[in-house]
Amino acid sequence: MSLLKIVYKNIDEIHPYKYNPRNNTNSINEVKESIEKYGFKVPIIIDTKGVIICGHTRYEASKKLELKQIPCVIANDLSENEIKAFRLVDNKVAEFSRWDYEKLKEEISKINDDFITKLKFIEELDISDDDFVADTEITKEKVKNALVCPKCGERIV
Amino acid sequence: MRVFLACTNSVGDKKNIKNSKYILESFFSGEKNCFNALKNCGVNNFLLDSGAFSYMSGAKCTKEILLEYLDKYIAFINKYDVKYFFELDVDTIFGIDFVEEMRNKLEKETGKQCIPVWHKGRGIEYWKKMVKEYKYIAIGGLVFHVKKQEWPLIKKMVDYAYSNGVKVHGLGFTKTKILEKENWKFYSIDSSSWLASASRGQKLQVFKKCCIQNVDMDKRKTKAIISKMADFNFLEWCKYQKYMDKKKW
Repeated sequence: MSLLKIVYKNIDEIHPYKYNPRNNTNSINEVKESIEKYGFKVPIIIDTKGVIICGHTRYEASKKLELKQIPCVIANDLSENEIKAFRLVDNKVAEFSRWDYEKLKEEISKINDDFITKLKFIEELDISDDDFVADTEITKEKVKNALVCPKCGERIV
Repeated sequence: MRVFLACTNSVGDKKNIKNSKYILESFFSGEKNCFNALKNCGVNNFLLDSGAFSYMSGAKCTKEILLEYLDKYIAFINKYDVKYFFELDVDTIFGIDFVEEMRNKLEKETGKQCIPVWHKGRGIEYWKKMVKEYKYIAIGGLVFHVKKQEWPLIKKMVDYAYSNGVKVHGLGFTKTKILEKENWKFYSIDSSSWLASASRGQKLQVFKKCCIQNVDMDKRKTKAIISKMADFNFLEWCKYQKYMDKKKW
């Protein structure tokens, strides 16, 4: 296995893949904030023409951050077909991972970082009992919608 | 997501039961039915409902009679080493204090955590408490007591439990179209709709476009054979079960 070589490319030499089927719009701001906070730690993978294979969100976040250069790895050992496949596989494989919530909660408890809170690893439950319809209202409605016997007038809920 | 099929003792052709990987049985249906269901799916894929509410509805019942029922429930769980079983959620009849008293006894004498069942009357804080203390919890009353406008609230509750690593069972949650469309994070649900649709509505159900769909039949032309319809529906639900089993979050 050859060693990975990280090269710094000017941002205008890098191009998003026109047919990228992944919509990353919702995560650009979070990735931007992550780069701002912790630095650019994961290089973008591009082909020999500078077209992105993996890292479209990091690229969009870099543009927002007005970075001039981005760390890249050039995948010059892959065929066109392998590049297309890897582009999909790299996104898909992440979906198979799951959180271990016990460990996650324990780890979060050890970290003092606003960004962690902002990312809402643990959902907050911002609803109250008043948001629910009281059972008495449901009963009233049931009575309203009850069948009425045409002979004796009895209501069947 | 695990889709537990309930009332499997009503399947006409018993060979068909084996098609259901997950089975829920109510203790109210009798020990024999519970044992058969457990035998068919194995202890890891079996959910035991207390059936306490049905038991209470059927007879003039006192706390003493219910405690006797609880003793039998505990004995069954211990005899067959049942792994997943619900508490006796008779909140509306005897109040939460008595439910908790029975829950404590159930857990103490089985040596296992039960699946507590949240009802609207317990309130949100109680849900948070359940999330904190349990690994597998349930929401009840979804069929009759939760209004359409309350679904988003229930969804938030399920999301909250999920993000805390707690599994949620939706008792009687049969809205398969909603499950497909809205990314509900239930760990499991159960349904006896395959039987109810056939016996009450004389409706056929098919697994189509990733959910269960009712097929309207012309009753004037079709002589409904309810048991055959129920078996047909059951097998369609088994297909749905298989499909949902692959869905994980």
